[in-house]
Amino acid sequence: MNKENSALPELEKIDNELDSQLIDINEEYDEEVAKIIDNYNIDMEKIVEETKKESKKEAIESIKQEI
Amino acid sequence: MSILENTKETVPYIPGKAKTEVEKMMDAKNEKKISNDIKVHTISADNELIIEENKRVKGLEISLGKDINDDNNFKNVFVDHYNKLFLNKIKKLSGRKPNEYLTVADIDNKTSKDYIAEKQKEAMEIYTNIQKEIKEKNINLEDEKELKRIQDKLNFNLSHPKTVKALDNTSKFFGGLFDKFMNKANSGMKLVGSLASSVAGFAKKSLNAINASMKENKVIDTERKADVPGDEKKMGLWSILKKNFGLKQEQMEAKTKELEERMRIAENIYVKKIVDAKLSALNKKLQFVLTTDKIGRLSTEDKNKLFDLEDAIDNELTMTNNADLKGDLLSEKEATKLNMKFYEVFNRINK
Repeated sequence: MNKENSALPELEKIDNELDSQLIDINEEYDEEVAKIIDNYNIDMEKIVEETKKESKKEAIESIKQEI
Repeated sequence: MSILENTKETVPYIPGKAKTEVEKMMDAKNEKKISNDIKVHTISADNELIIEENKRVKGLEISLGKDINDDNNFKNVFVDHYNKLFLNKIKKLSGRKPNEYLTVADIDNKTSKDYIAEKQKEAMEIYTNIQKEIKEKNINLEDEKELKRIQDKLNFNLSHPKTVKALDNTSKFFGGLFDKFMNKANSGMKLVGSLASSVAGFAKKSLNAINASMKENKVIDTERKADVPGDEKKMGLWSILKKNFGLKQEQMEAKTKELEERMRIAENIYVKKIVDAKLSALNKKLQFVLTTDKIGRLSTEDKNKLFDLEDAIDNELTMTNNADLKGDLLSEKEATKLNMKFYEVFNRINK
């Protein structure tokens, strides 16, 4: 059995290709997760805004009645 | 030896990126939110509320204590809008140095109470005057300009009269001020002035709670956060808020479920891609070893890398709890085929 430490170029090439693929997959995944979370936050902010508007409207009505 | 159940010594496994990255993203989002929106105050050994004087909190619920679900640790304070000047004044009255913290004891002493009472009285006078003005001049509150003018006037005159609202049973200062002011101002002008920030604060807190709970897979108890000590009927404005949020909460929870589902799908796709890439590399390597005439040049490192790759795939499969996905990642037939190839390689390199 050969004890040399250097990898065969063919195997090294496969390793490098795999590394590069993994980096791409990770980046793609990170972007996807960021997109999902951003969309979630946008949706939630919309709900908050709607609530704010509705509450304000009701509050004005309440004040008008009070006055 | 099976690729799924191999017994050879494995290399240290770095937990799969899929889950870790999701957690990291959520952590980063939560941390960002917390740093932007919420200043978590601390409780001293003798259970005093410590207010970080130099930090301003806008219209937010502040959860005190590490676990808001733990009653022993739970202190829940709503701060509608308290400003630095107000706290600084109390600090001066309490004889605190600028670099010292304010405590509940400082706020609760007689001098501070007198000051708060004075401010409260001042606030009520201005509130009454503004209410009178609205009535006498028949001001249309639906007119945005008029509304803003009134709000500005209220805020300016009172130097943020809402100052501090409290929902904490144990915090006398916050509780007392909030109760007194809110009871008087029930469904009055104060509502308009403080509503936006109250709603926004509550909503932001809800978002944070949802995000935090997602991380821990806990069911969110936003209803509890909406609880107000005292007679709820007196709190007209709070009821409006609570009612609207009760309705919107369902939408929020639905969105959160949707998020979880999207995350799960994204994660599955991610894991599948990773495993596919590794399987493909492993197959290429095995094929190379089986056909090469350079087998004698194969180094120990090369061999280790082969085992490592197999381990990595094995671990990736093991950490995937989704049974369907496991089948998708590597069918039984494929696994058997791969095993056979691996044995062949194993024999060849160990000749």
